[in-house]
Amino acid sequence: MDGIQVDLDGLLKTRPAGDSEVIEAMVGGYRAPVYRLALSILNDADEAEDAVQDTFLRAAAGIHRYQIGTNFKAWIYTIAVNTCRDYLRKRAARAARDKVLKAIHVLTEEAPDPEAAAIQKESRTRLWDLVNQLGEKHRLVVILRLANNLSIEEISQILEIHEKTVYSRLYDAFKKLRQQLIQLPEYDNYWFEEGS
Amino acid sequence: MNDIHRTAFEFFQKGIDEGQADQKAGGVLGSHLATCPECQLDVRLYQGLQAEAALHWPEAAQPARSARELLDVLDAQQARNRRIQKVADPIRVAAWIILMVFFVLAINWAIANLRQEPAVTPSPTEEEQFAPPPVIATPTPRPSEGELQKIPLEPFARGGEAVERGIWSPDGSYLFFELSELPDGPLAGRSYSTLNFLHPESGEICQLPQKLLDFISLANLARWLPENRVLFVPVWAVPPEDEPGDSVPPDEPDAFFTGESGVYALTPCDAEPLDLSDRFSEPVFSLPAWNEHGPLFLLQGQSQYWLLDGNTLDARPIENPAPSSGGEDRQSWSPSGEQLAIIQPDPQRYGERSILHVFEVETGQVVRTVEIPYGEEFNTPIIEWLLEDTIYVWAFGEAGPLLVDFSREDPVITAVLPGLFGLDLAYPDEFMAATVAADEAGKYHIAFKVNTPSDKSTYLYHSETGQVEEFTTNANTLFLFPDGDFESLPRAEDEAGRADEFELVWVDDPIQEPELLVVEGHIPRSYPALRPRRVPDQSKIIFASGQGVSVISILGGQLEGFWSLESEGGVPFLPEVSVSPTGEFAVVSAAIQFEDGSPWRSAFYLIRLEP
Repeated sequence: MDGIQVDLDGLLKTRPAGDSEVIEAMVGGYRAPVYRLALSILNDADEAEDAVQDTFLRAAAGIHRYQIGTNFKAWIYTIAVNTCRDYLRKRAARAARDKVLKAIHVLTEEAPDPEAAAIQKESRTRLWDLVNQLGEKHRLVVILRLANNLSIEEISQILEIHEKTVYSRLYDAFKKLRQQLIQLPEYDNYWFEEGS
Repeated sequence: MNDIHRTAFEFFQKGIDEGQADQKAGGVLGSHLATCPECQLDVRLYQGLQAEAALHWPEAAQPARSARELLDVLDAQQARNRRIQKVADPIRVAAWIILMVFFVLAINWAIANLRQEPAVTPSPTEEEQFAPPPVIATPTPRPSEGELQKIPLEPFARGGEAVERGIWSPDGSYLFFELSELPDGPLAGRSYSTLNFLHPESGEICQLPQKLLDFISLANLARWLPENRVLFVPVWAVPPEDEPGDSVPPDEPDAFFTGESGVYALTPCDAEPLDLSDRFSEPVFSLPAWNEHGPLFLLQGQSQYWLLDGNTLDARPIENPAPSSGGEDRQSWSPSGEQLAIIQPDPQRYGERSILHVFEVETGQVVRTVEIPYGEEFNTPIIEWLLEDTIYVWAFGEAGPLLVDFSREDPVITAVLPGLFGLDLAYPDEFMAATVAADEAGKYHIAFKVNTPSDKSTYLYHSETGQVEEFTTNANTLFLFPDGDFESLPRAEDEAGRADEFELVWVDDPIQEPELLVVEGHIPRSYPALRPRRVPDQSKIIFASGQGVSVISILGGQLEGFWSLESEGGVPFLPEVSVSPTGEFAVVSAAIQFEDGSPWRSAFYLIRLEP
């Protein structure tokens, strides 16, 4: 990934920011990692696809604001995280609206298919289910750190917070996860068998 | 516990990021990581989450839309933007003209209204309550004066790796301290500690024949009683016979404090401790608080708290509250000594909420029970009395520190940072340090040194006026209070080679301007922060670093002495200074670190400050 960053910085030194070659290099280099980032935050493949597209639209429109020689990866990840946050907010608004509609019996919910529900449950990740119960600021730090393997410094740049705050949020997130984990009835049975 | 756990967590994370972890801290934190159950859980959680993430969001995951498709969308969007821009530009110019006309009209209106007297004085809005605090100008640096001549010191005692600075008797005639030793023979691999009394005037040391297996901290286990005796609860001393596989030299079966429920009064140089255990009907575990005016001592037993009268050595139980099962309580005596506060985890909401009990010492009756909306695992926040009806709770987390005012029937809890300072900061990461100080006149001060990328200021809150002052100098800060007390706040992100600048702030002194004192002779330090200690006559400050110990007069900045700790052939790490109550002597305790990798060693030095 660092190589891509160097190439992009090199391109930006010789070509205007909106040049098609710059945009192509940006999309080619960061399409997959930004998708993975969006997927880990949104947990929905369709929404992640849309978020990737929105991220690159925003990045292409604002690439002249990127400062050459800083960290392009952090720059575009910041845009991606903020885009995903917008999606989460829209999702929350949708959920609130659906709740109201259900309450007044306008929306009839289809009965879930038991088999599909079982498959879905099986495929879910157990520990990440706990992560998804965290508040956004704790959840984001865990996702960036553990699903995207970013350093504390990179997370600090992406979320535009102090490194100490990243440590603190990560610590608080783990504290909450520990509390949730030990309350699980199956905690003693499945908890971290070798190779899990 | 919580602090070291946080530090260990950070250390672990730094280790993941390309071995950035501080090797010096590694030994201590590494052993904490290895032995602390929640750290182990963190590590396994970390690994488990990574493993699940690799399955759920594999590196090879690719979006369905190809790069070409994305680029086509981008091209289409850019073309659309260009079209919109063509239309929007004339509209934007028109909008600017309208805005400018409004602006000119608004200015004219404002000038006209400023000439009129307001009919009614508006009540202050919430924003006005937190108007920007007055900013205090940065003073010119002033180096400490005097010839920097270092006087070499030889240790009066050496020990194993562990070190603690000791406790002075109230009259300054003895220092009670612990010395760890690394034995050979059957106890090789363990350590044991001896208890010692230093008589500084003669330099003699009396060592008690009883030993403690493994190093313990005297901090919550020993206090001076009247008549120069020490109240000692050797509970953490493990009886060797309880340790499977350990054998004790057969000729020393009584040479250890058994530590199961003992409470002793020790007299300097007297080999026979006075056993006070029969004053208690149950095992007693610690000595968490004391009131020097009584003197009264609070002891924590298996099922009850106990109060021991320092004069009569009689003990009485406290019915309520009972100690929490995890031993996580914190205690604090009120300024008058008439009330005692105990904070403990709320068992109903462990880790999230705490219960603060206030009871009258004389009657033992609980007079207040307050729910504190903050809790920690394996710990509770430190509490500190400011006034007779105001307690400061050193809470971490998003709320940050809290102020509990129970002067009214319904106690009022204020989040200090937003409520008193108007600051939106996360504790402890976005401010480095905090301190509180109260005086007998019924007022108190709270200070924070902030550490965000854009703000390195120090803020001081005055309870009397409700005002906040801001000090923008990025230096260590020393607040000198009118009653002679002082508090220091270290600069954030310090470096071992950076100048030791201390901004001296005379609190509530309308004449004395802040000064910037540059303390010389301590660079490079073996530890980033140079920590000041005040000597009893309150006109001097004493500093300690790996380079040595210096004494500087506050007014004038005169260097009055510099003592070097170089004699052991290694680097003294984290030296601690403890000045005797009379100000005649200072004891320095330090862990000596050797470049050749030899085990650390503790050393104790004595300085005569006044002839």
